[in-house]
Amino acid sequence: MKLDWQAYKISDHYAKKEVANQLQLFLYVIPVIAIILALVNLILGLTEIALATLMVPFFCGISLVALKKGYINTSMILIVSIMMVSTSIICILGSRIHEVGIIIFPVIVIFSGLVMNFRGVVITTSVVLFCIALIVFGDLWSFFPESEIKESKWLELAVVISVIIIHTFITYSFSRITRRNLSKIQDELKNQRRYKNEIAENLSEKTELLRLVHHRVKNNLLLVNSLIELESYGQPQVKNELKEITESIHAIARAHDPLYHTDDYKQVAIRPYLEKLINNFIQKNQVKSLNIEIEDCLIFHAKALHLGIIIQRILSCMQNLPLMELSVRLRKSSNQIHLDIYNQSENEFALKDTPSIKLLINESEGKVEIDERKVAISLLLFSEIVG
Amino acid sequence: MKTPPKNYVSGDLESITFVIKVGFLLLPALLSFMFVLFLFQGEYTMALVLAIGLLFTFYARKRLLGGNLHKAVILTVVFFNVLLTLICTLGNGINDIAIVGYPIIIGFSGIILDQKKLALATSLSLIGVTWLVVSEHFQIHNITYVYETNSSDFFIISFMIVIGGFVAFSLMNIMKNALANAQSEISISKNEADNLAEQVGEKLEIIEEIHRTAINSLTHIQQLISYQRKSSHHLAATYSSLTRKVLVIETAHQILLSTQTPMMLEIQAFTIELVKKYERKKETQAIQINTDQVPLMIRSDIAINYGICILELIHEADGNANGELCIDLMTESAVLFKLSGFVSTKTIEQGIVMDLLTKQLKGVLTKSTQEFTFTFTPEAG
Repeated sequence: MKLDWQAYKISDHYAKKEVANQLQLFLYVIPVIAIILALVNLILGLTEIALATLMVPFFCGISLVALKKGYINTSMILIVSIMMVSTSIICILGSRIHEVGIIIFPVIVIFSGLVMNFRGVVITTSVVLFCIALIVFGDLWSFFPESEIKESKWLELAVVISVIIIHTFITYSFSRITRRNLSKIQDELKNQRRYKNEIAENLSEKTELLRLVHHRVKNNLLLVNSLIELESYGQPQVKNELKEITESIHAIARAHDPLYHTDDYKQVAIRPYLEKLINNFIQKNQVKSLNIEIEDCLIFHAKALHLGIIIQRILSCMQNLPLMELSVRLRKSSNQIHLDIYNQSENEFALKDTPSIKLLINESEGKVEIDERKVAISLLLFSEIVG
Repeated sequence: MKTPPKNYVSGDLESITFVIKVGFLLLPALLSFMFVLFLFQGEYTMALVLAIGLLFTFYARKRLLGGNLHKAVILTVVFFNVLLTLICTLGNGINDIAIVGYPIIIGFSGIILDQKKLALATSLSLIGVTWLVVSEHFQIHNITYVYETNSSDFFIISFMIVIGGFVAFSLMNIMKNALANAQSEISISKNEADNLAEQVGEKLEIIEEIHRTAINSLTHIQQLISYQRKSSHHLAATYSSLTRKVLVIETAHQILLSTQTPMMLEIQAFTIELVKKYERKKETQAIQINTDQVPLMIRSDIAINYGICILELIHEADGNANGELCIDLMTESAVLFKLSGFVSTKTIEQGIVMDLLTKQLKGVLTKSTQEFTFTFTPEAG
């Protein structure tokens, strides 16, 4: 189990791997400097300070092992703790608050500010302040025995210079990690925004293309009708015989009319589409009365088209009937559409093309009930209904 | 502050300003405390140095908040290095508690400034501490050692460390927050882009679906035609003509579906496919096609008009075939469709449909008893 102390958890936004690499580097450098300082202290006869300094490489070693095993937080807690403890001991054994080792305390706090979260910084700062209080007030209230230290200004200078240089590198390296990441992520953000804009542009192009494709299909189909019209010009009988075909083509073409489509061109508003087909039919046929009750709903284009063809075929079977009393009702249930077409007049309503209509409906996964006497047709249709 | 430091973004200005405001409130508080302390201790030189430091702090704060961030930070770094060195020189030299100020200056400049300015701050600190030892060693000035500890030492050091910690943490935190915000924005933007990409994919699928639906509908019309044709033998020619037109549109949609180009058709592939289908439909003999292999994409509506024209010509020629029909198709500059391999016994009329479509394509149709030539330029169509 990893020993993560939540208070010291590195900020999530930080690149942990980069932090670990930098930390590793410092865990190699700090012990070397500590050993040199310990040796110098030993030569100067400051055995106790040398021993306190030698704690640093020992704990740095443990910290390094923890780091290599992936326990970055544990490693960081160890290094910060040992630096605080050894600095305090050195100061207590040395010139107390006037010991040059005191310079390490702000370094520890700034280091925590660079890599730790708020709680980590608060804890580190509090412990550092406690250590300083211990050194100052311990000295003030004579908790510690008097120390007679041989001063070596050059050694003190070496200590201060080493600490300042290491501190510079620590500050620079750790702030650079965040800076570099920030710069990288800002570039990435810029690219991401550009990519998004390109896709959005592409989408609007595709939507326009979709509209155009529908429009073209409609035009191509209507072109066939126009050419039939041209070829049968002056031949009413030919025109009449081709009427069923031209009206089927018309029904299909209308289903592609972007006018009846939703904005995303996925679905067709069934009511205006069917009303247009039925109105087109009654203009060319004798209808005594017409009752249209079509529920406003959207259905997928392919299904709408199929429905259009079916209605067109049924209406074609009814053409030329005198004085029809036509009633068309379409309603939507949970996942079906129910279509009823009635001719309430007494005229015979015989579907001349029942098998092909049945086939069409079967293709649409629908059901049909055709009652020739009562001229009532009920269609149960579709599994894909939206809206 | 007008512009943020190099590694910060405009949105960070407010937070940076806040940190600087607080930092530059804590610093004068510390300097004032020290000033009063030295005044009471009768160390007037030290008190004077601190008074100068105090005045400078207000000046630097004004400069910083006035928008001259870089200059003000450099000035602050240089000034406080000098001030610290002076305080230590007048105090306990290298053993003065003020040396804790050096890492704080370096930390501050390391976070907010670039590499060069950090090097400057470090160099000044190193010069300062070296000066403290060297000047003492060569007795350039006299140091009056005051090694007695008093409680003010704790407050001074604690205060300095708290200021350093606060500034370092806050400035880094602003950067980290900016990083987190950017990451979150990237993630949102990625999700939006994925959504849009999905919608683009959907649109392409719908386009394919439209072509498929159109093909199915045309198949249905073909079935209807053949059903009606059985009961109207006298209109066989009309139904045949109608079938050809539907065939052209059907073929166009099949190619559009297979090539996944929603609006454009490659004219040679379209011609070859049309001829093949015609052959199959009519069970006629093979028609030879020679092309110049120059690919030419044209709009599907133009291609359909062209297709209807050539199928009509092939149909006409097929009735008078003299051996194998031969098509030469050139597409280098304009579309040139030449049909030969037949001999007509009578002069062939243009026909109203052909006339109309030729005009629509702004093309030229030449008919002789042995050869039909149809040319048009797609751009003009």
